[in-house]
Amino acid sequence: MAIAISASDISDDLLVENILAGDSSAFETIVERYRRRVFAIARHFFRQPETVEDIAQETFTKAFFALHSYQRGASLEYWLARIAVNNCYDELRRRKSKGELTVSDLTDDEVNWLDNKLSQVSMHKHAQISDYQTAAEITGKLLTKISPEDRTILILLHAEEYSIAEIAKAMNWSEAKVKIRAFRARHSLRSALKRLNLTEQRKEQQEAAFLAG
Amino acid sequence: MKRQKISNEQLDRLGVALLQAAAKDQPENADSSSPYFMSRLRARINEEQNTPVFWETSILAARNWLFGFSAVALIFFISSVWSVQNLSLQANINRGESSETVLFPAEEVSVLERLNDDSANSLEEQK
Repeated sequence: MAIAISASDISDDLLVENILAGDSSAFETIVERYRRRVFAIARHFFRQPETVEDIAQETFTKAFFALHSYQRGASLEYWLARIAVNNCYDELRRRKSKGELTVSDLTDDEVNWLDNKLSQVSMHKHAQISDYQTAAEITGKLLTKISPEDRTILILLHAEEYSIAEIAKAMNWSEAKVKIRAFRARHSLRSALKRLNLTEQRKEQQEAAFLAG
Repeated sequence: MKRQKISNEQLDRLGVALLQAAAKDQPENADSSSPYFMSRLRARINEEQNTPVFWETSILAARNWLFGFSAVALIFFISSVWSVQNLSLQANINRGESSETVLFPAEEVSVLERLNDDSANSLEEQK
């Protein structure tokens, strides 16, 4: 009796072997299996859909040409995630070197929204933000004010929830460097938030001066 | 809310909460579900497979430049050799040497002289 084996039952290692033997449909199975993961990583770094797709394409293309270096038995998902993270980091650095990182200031509504969330977070230590879309838009704007290294560390630590050891392995940095970078990254984000408040304070002072004058 | 009382810890907490919430933002029409992604990816892989490797493209790009530079270098070399020869000829003439001596160095002149002497001797012998 023949047993039908669907593509989803085949292990990653076997699929890799098939690709290396020239079976292109095996590669399509891998893309289908991990494309959501790769897109999610790219979306943590970039908001523009074109950039996200470009990063995903770049990731799978690089993976295709580097499959011979993939160590059998290791996690293919993690291997692809590493490629995706490095692509995102390279893209951030490329944009910075070209001066393409757009720094857009927050609107008054967004600053008010942040004020509201700050009071929530202050009252409840484990308060969570439920308005994901606004949070993503504001975070995207805040992160443009932070260096590519700090941005990568923050996203990997808090969005991807990587451990220090995992970040060190993904970025090919030492764990000590990751810890120092993480400390600096948190400081940079804090400074970006502080600057927002200062700006708003200044605006309030200007309004008060205008009303008084 | 009094901003002066905002501590670093509160700001850190807000930052982390923002990052975590932003990570959960998954648009309904996410590109990962696009039916055209696979065909675009396949096209890109095919394109990269047919693209020559870096050193090949570099040599191809540099080939015309190499031809141009070698032609210019050859012209410079010929003109410099020619000008050096002219200068040395001029210098010898300026030193008072006849153009015949300069053009026919001493050894060659002596050969000619020897030939002249030989023919003179044979004429004398015939006489």
